[in-house]
Amino acid sequence: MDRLSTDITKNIVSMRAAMQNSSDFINKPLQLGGFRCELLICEGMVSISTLAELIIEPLREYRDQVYPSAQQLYVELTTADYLAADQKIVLTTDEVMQFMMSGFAVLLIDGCDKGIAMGVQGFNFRSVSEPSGEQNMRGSREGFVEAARINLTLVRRRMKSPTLKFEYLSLGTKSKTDVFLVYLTDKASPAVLKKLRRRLASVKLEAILDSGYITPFLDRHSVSLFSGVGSTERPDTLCGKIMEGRVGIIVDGTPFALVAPYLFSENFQSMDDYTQRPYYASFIRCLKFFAFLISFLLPGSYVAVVTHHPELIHRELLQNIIEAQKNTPFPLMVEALIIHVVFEIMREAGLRLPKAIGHAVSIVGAIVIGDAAVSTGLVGTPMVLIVALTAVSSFVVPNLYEPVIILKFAFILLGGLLGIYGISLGLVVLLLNLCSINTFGIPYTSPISPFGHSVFRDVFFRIGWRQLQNSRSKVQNMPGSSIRTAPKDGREQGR
Amino acid sequence: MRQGKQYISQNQLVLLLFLSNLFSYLTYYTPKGAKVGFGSSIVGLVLGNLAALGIGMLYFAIRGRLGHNLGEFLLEQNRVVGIVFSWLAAVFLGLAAVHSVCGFTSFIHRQIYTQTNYLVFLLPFLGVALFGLLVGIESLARTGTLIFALTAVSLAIVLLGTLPNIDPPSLYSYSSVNLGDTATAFWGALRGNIDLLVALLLMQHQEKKSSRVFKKYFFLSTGTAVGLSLLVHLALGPYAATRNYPFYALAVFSDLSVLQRLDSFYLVVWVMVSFVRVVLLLTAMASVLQTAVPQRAYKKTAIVFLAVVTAAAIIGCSSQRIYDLIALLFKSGYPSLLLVLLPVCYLLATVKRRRGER
Repeated sequence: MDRLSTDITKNIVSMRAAMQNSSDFINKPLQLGGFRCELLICEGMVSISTLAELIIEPLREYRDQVYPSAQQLYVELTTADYLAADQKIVLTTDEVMQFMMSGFAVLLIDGCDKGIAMGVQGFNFRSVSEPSGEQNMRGSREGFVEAARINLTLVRRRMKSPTLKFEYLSLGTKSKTDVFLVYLTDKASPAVLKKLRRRLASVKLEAILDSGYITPFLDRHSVSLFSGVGSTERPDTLCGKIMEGRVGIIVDGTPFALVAPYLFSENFQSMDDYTQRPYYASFIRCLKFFAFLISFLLPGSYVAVVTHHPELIHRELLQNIIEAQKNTPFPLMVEALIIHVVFEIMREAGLRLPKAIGHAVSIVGAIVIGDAAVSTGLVGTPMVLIVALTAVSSFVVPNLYEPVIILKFAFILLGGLLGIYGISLGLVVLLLNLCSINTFGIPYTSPISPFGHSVFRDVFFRIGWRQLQNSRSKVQNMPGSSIRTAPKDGREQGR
Repeated sequence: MRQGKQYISQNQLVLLLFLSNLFSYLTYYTPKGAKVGFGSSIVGLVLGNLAALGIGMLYFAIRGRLGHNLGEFLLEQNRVVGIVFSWLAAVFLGLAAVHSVCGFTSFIHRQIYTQTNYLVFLLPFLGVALFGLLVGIESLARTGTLIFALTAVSLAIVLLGTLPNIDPPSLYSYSSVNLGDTATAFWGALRGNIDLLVALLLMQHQEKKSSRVFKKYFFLSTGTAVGLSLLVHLALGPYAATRNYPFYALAVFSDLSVLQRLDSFYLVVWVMVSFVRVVLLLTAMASVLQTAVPQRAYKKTAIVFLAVVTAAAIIGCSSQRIYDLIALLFKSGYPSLLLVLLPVCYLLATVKRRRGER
């Protein structure tokens, strides 16, 4: 970190050298108050019209004036009320370059070892639009965009509290990505914030191109399919989370904000739950939990029962299943694995291809391959039904799609090899794994286990707003939490 | 096996103890040729559990509220007694774990998968149990709560499937209570109650020390045991006494919609309850070992104990003679009484003597 020199030529030379004479580095010489000045910008990162209006035009006033010293000119410029309002003092060449690359114009004065960075950002970014992955029936249609500062305004517009704080961090030794911790100072746990800052400080990656890059550094529990750090594309969801004492992490360049701590039950919540009538929201919640169980247990259980315990099924139903399976060449477990792998291939192909072709792939997969596989006797009709049910169920809780896929294959193997015994043993391991996760000192499965009364308030059921407004629950006060704060405020009861 | 102190709530401890206790009732019922009448066995069971509650409350009244486990207190009173007790308790808990694993495997092997080698069931189960031990009692307690919910749902489904087979008038034939039979059943219930020893050894992990653990455990386990016994007798009648696993037989005979047997639900409950039982015993064993050996030797000793338990479980499952030997030792019940009642009396005597000296 080289401090700025009083010799402006030396500063420009060292910065040009540091930037390898990059073509987007622009320095415009000016004569202000009798001193040589340089206005530094990064091409494409600033709005030319804003630059002209807020900096070039006001600076004309200083052309003909003469100041006794560069320091006095610097003081005059920093107190001038007609220059750009967003001003920062820069002391080192690294700071100058970082501000330039963030869309600031930096003014250096010969004879002064400080610079003035002025915000005139004007780079192009995607406009605010409906989030593609978290669509809702009601509620806001706004989703986060790639530009972090736009995301900050989306949050601030919804949360006009002075306790809402955006804490700036720079991550990535090369990319210097802007990262903001978003939290309410009167809600967030200091212990969570301390851990977050420490874990973020341990990120030594060269470039942070997405929020997903830093998730593993925040998620420090033992090997698990589940994550204690969530993500959202919706500013209203993020506001709801930080209202409960959670901390949002907005990373420049990605429309997904991270949320920590993130509990298992949150995977089943959506913004719609809070805009719909409580009885319907509760019904949908229960449906989601049921769909989650179906999505990974159904194929394995079907394989287990038909292969190892056919006596459990009613005679007529068993007869139909045997009839459908008798011409298929593979054992049921292999058949289940093959058809699920084929489904995953088609899903992946549909996802990566352009939308129009993606739809075509889905149609080919669903109608042509599915129908042909059954009619040629490669797979039985019940298996196609199972795959369809599983696939639809797995999309009901999109946040858990990744673990569900792996669990689905694991349970097919367990069910095929060990029957219901294998399924039961797999369930024990899954429960044990889920229950061993602590996210920032809070049990991942709280308030289901350790049990808390909020299970009946906002987990399996969602009670009305009139009752919810009286419960000021904070995530750090969840049952089993080791970072409890404010014993009277929002404390969960029981375990 | 984590050495750092982990805390669980009293409800979590109650549920763990209850699930461990449920294992006994799912495994064992009145064996063939047993002469204890149903009415007497129920009264004896309630009295036996009541006596266990009394011992637990007594210990709590003496020292338990301070949060130390039985081993630590004995060590405090007399170093030699404390160390000998801790070693005995660890060995006995290890044996109890081996007995439970063998009981679990033999049920699966003999009743459900008769054609498959027992190692196919034993080895994965031991692996999962070791995993459960490694993640610590906090995670086990949280898992226990979920397993309790699953067990309750599964038992409710079996109950629902059994309802059409229930014959209430058949209960009259079991209503007689005989004093001798009651005493036998009482003694059986008390000496076989290993959960009491586990509760006294895991006292240190309880977040808020309270004697309510024993009361809640008593009501939950006694209520469930009586309920299950009644259900089995009302649905199966005299046939229940001819089965080794009467509740399993009940599940086999029950049906619900497209499921013509409900033993799959029984199997799920069985695996989960067995898991809790074995891991809880191993956790208590690891916990009492910390009192028995110096801190620096704890890790090695615990690994040796676990290796011995694993080897004994494999041998116990392969050899009926060894399994019978372990069962005899375990079912004789004297070790559990020696490990609970005598130390509590010793503590009581010490406390009284010290008060007298003052």
